[in-house]
Amino acid sequence: MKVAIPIWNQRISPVFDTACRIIVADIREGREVSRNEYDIGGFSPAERVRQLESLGINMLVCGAISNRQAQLVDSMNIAVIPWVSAEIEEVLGALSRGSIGETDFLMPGCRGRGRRRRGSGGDCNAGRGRRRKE
Amino acid sequence: MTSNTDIILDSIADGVFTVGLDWRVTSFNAAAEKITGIARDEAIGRFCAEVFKTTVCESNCVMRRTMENGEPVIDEEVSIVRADGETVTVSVSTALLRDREGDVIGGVETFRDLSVIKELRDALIGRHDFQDIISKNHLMQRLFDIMPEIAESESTVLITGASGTGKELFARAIHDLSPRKGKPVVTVNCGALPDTLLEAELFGYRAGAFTDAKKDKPGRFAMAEGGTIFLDEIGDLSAATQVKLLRFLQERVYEPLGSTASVKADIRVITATNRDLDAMIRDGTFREDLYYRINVIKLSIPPLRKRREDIPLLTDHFIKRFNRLRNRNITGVSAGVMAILMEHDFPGNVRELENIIEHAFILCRKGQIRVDALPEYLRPASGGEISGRLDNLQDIEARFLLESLRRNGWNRTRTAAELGIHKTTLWRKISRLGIELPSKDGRSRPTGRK
Repeated sequence: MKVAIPIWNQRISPVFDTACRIIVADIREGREVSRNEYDIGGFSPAERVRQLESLGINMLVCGAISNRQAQLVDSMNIAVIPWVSAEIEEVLGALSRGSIGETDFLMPGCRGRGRRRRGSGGDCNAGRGRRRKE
Repeated sequence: MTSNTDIILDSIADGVFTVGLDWRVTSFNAAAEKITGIARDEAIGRFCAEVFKTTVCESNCVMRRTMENGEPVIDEEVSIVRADGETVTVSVSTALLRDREGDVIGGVETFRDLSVIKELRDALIGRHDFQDIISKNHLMQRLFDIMPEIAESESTVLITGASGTGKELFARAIHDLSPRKGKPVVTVNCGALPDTLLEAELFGYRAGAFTDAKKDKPGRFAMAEGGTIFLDEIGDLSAATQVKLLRFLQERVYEPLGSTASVKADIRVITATNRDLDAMIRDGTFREDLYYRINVIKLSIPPLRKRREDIPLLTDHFIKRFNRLRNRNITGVSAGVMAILMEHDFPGNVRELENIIEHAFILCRKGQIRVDALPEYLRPASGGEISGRLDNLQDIEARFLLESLRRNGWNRTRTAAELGIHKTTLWRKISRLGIELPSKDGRSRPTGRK
């Protein structure tokens, strides 16, 4: 599974729409087998999604994401775990151990709402996106 | 912080929060809770960027600028992404926080929700964005799916669809999603100007080009340099202007009226029409070579009657919008109103629905919009709320399904496709609601509804 995580100061970027860098980690059988970093600074919403697609990303773990951007990521059939605030290493550790629970590392404002996704929007009322076929 | 300070801060209409030198939130007032949708106890102690979630936190943090140079920032517009995924425009001001000795102990940021102002501003200039395209219809979803690719390409796009389907929204969405975002997007309604004026409007003119041309005037193409020009009602172009547009699309140059020199331009062209261009080519009123130039990518937007499942969504969207604009608290529409809307064919499409809701807002001050607040042409002859057979949601659903089945000649596959649901879901609904299918179908079920 290839996971993309926008990074800022060793933490998940607060807003994916304007994140400047992403880490792409390949996690197989509970182990992180590779990790690379890519520049996405100044990319338009469509360019961000194209970059994820060209890198073969299966899952995006991010902080805040606007409904519009979430809709575009959804359209590429990439699973999204939004509204995460944590150190990058914490997130990668959790993903290697299995996955991120509905209430793990929730950003402020998402308490009591879980992370369920609603339709194609990026609402933190709303949960996980579709999982891309591997 | 003392409780008095809390009371004072909570009485302020602007959002206020403070951060320590470690960038963690130390106070968060009631208005900040309301604007961001984040409870105070969730915000305190968290990194401000993860609470406030602005689009500039990472690259151009307003508070960081103040912390670094000591200078306050006043009323700078930024966008925040709220917990519901909506983007809200706020105006922020920042200042340093100092202790009694004058040492900096953090920063204070005040912010004001500008969403109503922005909405009013957009309404004034008739501007909406991608978030205004609301649909769960499968045809529309397919359009959403291909939007990023279309936006990224530089190809000319032809958007077709009946009046009021939202062709301009799609044009703006393509521009906003494209690398040209940030550059101008200029809209021209080719049908709104007589041909003699349209050519000057599009391409500009030089002084002396005609009697009243006292000085040079740049046209819309010049205004769109680096960005996108959206030519609505392209089917209304005269033969002469068609030739000029064709030349631009072929060579990317044009000549302002009265000029002998060509102007090179870097502009993406998006066109739209509600007319049948194929028929116009056959009639000889639209150039075939121009058609092929503008029809590189074609987006066909379905009329609202073909995506009836969007009517409740759009109704809700417009009610929320007018609530914000008019400072009202309309809670929704009555079952009777919804039944009428679901059955109406909307020749004016989404724009007509918007107008209906706007009309209802004039007559309905609070609570639910009822039938008597609808425009006259939609009110049933008897007037008042529909009762009897339409007194509950099941009846409305049954009547809606019946209409859809009738429209599709009782073909369940086509009906399911129109409604955006699976065939088996449709069949379950038909059984549950006791809808009788015609005998020619050979699978009729006994019941009371016809």
